[in-house]
Amino acid sequence: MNYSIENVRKDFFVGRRNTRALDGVSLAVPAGEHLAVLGSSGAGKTTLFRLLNATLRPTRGSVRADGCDFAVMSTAELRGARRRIGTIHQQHNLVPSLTSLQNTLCGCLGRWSMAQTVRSIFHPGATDLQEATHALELVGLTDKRFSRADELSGGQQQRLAIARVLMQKPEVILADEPIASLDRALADEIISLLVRVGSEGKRTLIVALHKVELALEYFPRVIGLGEGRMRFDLPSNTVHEDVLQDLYGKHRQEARRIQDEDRFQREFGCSR
Amino acid sequence: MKTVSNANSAALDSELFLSGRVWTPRRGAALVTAVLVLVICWQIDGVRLSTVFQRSTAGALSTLLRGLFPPDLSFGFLRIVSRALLSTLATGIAGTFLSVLIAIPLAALSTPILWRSGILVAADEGNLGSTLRAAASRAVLAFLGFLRAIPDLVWGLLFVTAVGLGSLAGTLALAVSYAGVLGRVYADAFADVDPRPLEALLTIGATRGQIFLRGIWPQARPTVTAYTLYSFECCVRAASVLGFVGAGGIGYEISLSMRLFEYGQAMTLILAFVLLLASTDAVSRRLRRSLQPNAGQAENPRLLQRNSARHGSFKPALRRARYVVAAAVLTSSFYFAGFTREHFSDAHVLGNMVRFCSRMFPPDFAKGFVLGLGPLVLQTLAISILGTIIGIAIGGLLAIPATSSLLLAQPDSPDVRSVSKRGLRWSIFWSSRLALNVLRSIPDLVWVLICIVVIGIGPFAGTLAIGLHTAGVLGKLYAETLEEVPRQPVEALRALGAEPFQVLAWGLWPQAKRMLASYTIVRWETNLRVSAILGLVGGGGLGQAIYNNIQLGFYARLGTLLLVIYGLVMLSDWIGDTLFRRSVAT
Repeated sequence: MNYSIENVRKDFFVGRRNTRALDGVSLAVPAGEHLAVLGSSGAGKTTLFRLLNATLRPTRGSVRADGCDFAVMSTAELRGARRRIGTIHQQHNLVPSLTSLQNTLCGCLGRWSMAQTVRSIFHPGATDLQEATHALELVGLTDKRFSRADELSGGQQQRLAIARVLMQKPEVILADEPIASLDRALADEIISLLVRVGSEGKRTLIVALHKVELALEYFPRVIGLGEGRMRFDLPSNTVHEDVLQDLYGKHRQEARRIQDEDRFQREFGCSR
Repeated sequence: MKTVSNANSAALDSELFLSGRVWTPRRGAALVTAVLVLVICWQIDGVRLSTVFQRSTAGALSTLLRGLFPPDLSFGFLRIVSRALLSTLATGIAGTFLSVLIAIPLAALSTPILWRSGILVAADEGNLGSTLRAAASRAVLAFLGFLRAIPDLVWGLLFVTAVGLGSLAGTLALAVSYAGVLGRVYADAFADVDPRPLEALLTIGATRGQIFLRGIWPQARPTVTAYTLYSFECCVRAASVLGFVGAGGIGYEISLSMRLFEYGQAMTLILAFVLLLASTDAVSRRLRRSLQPNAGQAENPRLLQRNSARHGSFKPALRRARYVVAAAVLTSSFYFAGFTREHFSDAHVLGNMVRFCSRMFPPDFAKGFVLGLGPLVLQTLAISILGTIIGIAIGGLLAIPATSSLLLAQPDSPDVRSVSKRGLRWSIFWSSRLALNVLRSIPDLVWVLICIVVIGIGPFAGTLAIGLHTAGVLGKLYAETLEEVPRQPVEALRALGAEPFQVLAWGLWPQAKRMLASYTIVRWETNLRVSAILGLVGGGGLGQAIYNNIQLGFYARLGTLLLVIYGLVMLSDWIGDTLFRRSVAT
């Protein structure tokens, strides 16, 4: 799926106050590309992702998938488009009272008919079950398949969210801070898993990250968002310290905090 | 312990899930039981669908509907309506006040931490005085249970018999039955307090009374006020219905006009009643907010500021004014509720009540009479079960379109942009909400009268009435519960292409089912109480026997009937607690 965003602005009205989350952002992502999005918290990354997965409408500008604007699609077409875009949310957003297996099966919802949905409440089809079991195996949760999602640890929930996306078999994977709450070793594991999944299916992969080194290590293209604007869009081998200084300029302290935390994790193997 | 059993049952379910067998012995047995219960209830209730689809039914319905419009708005009648409204409101206020007065000491006497267990009694545990005190406090708790178990309408009937027709009987009935409810809630609130301050007070050398006043009461007060205001709303609702047994207020006028086939007047009265309920709801919500100034406003600095200004600078004068207003409202309420001097001196209320109560003892346990009650008990159970099932079905169907997160497009989402489609969804949403509100705000006894007009007297009318009222109550609760489910998982499902029905089945239902089940069970327990009294107006069940025996003056039999109702309610509590809630909890 080829993505293109043109001159997008997004305003939120909270009470009577107007907050501008994104302003004048343009971006083109050809099918199969892997892309990392950098930016401090509040830079507009989550808003960008919600625009990309067709759950948010831009205030101005357009979001197109394969040249077709989300804004002119019918409800059914939108659903079709959403089916082709898998999202791994920052808070995982699993259904807490369902088991891992059932949460994984949720990935099929976009392609199930009404009758299949009704049937699946009691018992889903054999092929779907097989696929779900396989997806759980891929992320290493086979032994947890009967545990409820809210009984899993943070890292396990993260992997379960990936299993749900695998089940969805999307053309695009959007991952919003998929390693936010994980230690370094687990973060590496998750990112490489995502990259592997992306390359295997020739899927577009867009990942928002806090950690600069991981972005530069795994992704050929990196963009920087700051205060709702596009700061840079560069091949990762040309991203230099001064570009990052510029991006995190106003939030240098936070960048330093994150780096400190990374070092802490590297040295002590756990988060603070 | 709990997580272990959780994990086990989840694993069990999942094995089932994987095995691919839709029909397991357990599910089969559950289905067979359900069908059996349904068929038995159906038989006992004498449900004949043919009566529903008869031409005469349609005729009666159309006569009724044509009669309801236009409502009677003539001046003379409006004066009657306003007098009835006033006495209903006065009954509600006076009843709440009296029930609080009775409930607080009883609750204090039944609070376990003061009398039965914990640090306060640890020192003198085992000696005779302490054992006696513990037994007494248990007895008070059981007494509260008894007050609660007898439906308020039965209390109304008893007081009408004891002190005569009118609001006075209604007020006393409310006072007694809500004392049971409030006493239990207060006792729970008292039991929930932090025990450490109490221990500190004990070591200082405080007496039990001082510990209660300085340790328990301040901690429990917010819960107590909130629930008292909530029960005020319930009391006004109950006060309006008590008129059906002659205890004054607007219910009396409604039943009168229905019986005289003056449907236009009934419509006016029902509208007035709904208006009264809406305004008491609003007033009590406002009171609740002003008594707890910070609740729900933490994130609104302007409101907070305004409140603190109000509580700060105007405090003493405003407070005094409030006390004066409250005292005036209370006094006039008692006056309009029939607490006048001549009423008390003439009727010898207290003497009458004592004489009446003493005639119920000993209850009549003659074999023929008790055995004769069997079918009525079964009928009462059947009415409550079938009525609840009807309520679940209709309420559930209406709740789905009344859930805004399912039907209305999410703000800011790219879905459904065309104005006509939005308008259509919007109107479906609001009309289902309206239907639920209408079903809910018409009291179950009024529904009985309406159903009797349409399909004739008998248990089926009662069942249908309970079903319709329950549909409104449960439907609204269902919709609210579904809306309050954590939003993020639901958003995630929507983002991966799920349709509304799929969002319901895989996102909302798994998260909400426990709450939905527990609301339904609580409602069934309430419905059992209601179905025990439907007979008072011709809806089948035990109520008919109560009415007859009061009319005939067989008070010993009345005593037996009260015991039977108490037993039934205890049984429903037990079924709800042990069978359902436990299975729902895992």
